[in-house]
Amino acid sequence: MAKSNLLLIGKAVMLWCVFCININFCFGQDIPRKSIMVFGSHADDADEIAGGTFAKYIAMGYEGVYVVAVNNLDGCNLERTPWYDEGPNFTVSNSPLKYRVDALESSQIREEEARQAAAVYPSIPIFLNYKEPTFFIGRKLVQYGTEEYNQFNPPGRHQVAIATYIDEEVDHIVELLRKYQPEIVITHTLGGEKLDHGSTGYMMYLAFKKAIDQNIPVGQLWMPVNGWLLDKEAQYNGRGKPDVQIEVKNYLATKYEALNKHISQNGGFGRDYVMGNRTQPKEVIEEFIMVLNNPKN
Amino acid sequence: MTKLFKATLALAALILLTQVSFSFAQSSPVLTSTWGEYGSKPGQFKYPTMVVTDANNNVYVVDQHNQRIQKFNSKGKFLLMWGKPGNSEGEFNYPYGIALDSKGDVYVSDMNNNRIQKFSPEGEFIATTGSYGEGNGKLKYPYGIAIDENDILYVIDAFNYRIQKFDVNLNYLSKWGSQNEIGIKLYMPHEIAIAKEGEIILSDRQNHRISVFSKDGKLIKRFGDFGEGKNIKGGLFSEPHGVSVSKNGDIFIADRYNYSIQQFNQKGEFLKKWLTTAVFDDSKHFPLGIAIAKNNQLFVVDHYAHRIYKYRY
Repeated sequence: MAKSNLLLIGKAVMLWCVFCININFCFGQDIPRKSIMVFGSHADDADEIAGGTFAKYIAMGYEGVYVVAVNNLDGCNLERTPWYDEGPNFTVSNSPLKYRVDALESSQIREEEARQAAAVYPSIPIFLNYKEPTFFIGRKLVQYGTEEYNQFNPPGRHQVAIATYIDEEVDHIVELLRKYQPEIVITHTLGGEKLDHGSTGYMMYLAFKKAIDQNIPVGQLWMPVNGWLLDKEAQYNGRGKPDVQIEVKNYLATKYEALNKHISQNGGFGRDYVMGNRTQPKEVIEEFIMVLNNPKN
Repeated sequence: MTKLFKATLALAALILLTQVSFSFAQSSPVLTSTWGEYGSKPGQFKYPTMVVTDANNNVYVVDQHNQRIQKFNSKGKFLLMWGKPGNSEGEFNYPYGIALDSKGDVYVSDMNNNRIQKFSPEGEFIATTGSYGEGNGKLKYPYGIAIDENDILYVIDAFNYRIQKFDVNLNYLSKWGSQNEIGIKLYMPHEIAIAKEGEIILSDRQNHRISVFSKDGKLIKRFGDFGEGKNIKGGLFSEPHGVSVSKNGDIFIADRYNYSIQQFNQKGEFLKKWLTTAVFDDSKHFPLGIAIAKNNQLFVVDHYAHRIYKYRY
């Protein structure tokens, strides 16, 4: 009697263990960690458009996905001095001397800076390698469509503006959304900004809608309101008012730490990421338009 | 009197001729051959970078944008090539540096794959090491590489701001340098060579000078300063790149924006310089890689002209 009781207890314990393991497994599979994705065009755009919000949500336990859409072959032309016409110049140490950066080096430098910035939050860096419209080789400006241009760009990649017309390219972003199932995606404003920025926003807009159609459990798509403010038509249509306001006062230090990883972008005129006594951050609230909200959630 | 005058004149002419000839030899190495043009066929290049020669004066060229290595004899006759775009064994993603060990095996820094690959002299894949990261043996965009007389491989781990050492089986040995040592003004060196006495020579491109280190990373000396222009004096550089050392210890530097090669003795004292193409050109030429071969032969890679120049110096 005592023996069979022991056996029964043993079986019950075993069943409980199996149950617990299964429950745990199911939870692990069905309820992934919540995530937030910032879908930026160039290496520092994720930090610029939503760095405070990104930092805040990650601090709340969200997984951060930090996307750089364009392969930054251009962009280390930070010292827009009288020598600017000679081509990109770049200084990262204390050397007062000019440093001319080739397209390939520019790409390496900006990718490395973006990886370091993504690590500040911390978040997962993803590089999509869309093509730049133009860039420099030494002092020579290389235009889209030339053979030299093609040499520096990965085979099969497109400019992001062109990629929005190609189903496979949009599907690639849909797969990214399927993988991370972000509750929030923040990207550039549609129109009103630089071509690459607006196109990157449009690419995500298309992919996000497709993801909803395919029952991928994405949440909301946000775009910065200050981008809409640049767009007269958007203002006329009343789209210049924010749907979402995120107070990021306590996360500006993180945002600025990430921004300052983009050393190649800091030294030029008109840019100042320094957060300190000299320059105080102003944007304690980041404001967004909620462009899409998954109705199936 | 007339005979004496004539004899004196002849002697003076002879002395003058000798001096001129000596000066010419000092200042103008002879361009003996050149080959290559833009393209993807054997013997053509797309943005070649580094060059190295073996014991038989065969020439290996990193054909960067064709993602391959090409091998030639010393006269520029194409022998073989290997590599294609990708990240599998024997494939490349913008290879940059090249070096040979004492057996003649070939090492290539596969820059954007963040690894070093080793091949036989026939281009057969042997081994690989490295992946993106900061730990020992990890790499962030390896640039120039060199192998010393003890078959130790030195790798410029550019974005980790350090030099890493490996054995010929590609096992990690040690490292020196760090980002915090930028204070010593060595930032993102591009090319590396082994001096006659075994020191490490780095072209400190951004600071426009050459730095010489002990094998364990102690700065021994520097030479060079910034100077750009057709008539600047020797010893001034504008973004020095390729470095190579001759058997007697002379150091040859590819001086990018001065479109020239400069030669120094072991002490770093300037000896001579010459324009790689005889013209001072600010857009079509970029002397990048340089390699000394036997019999006073020197090979220079022109990255923008997609050509190899062979000199007798």
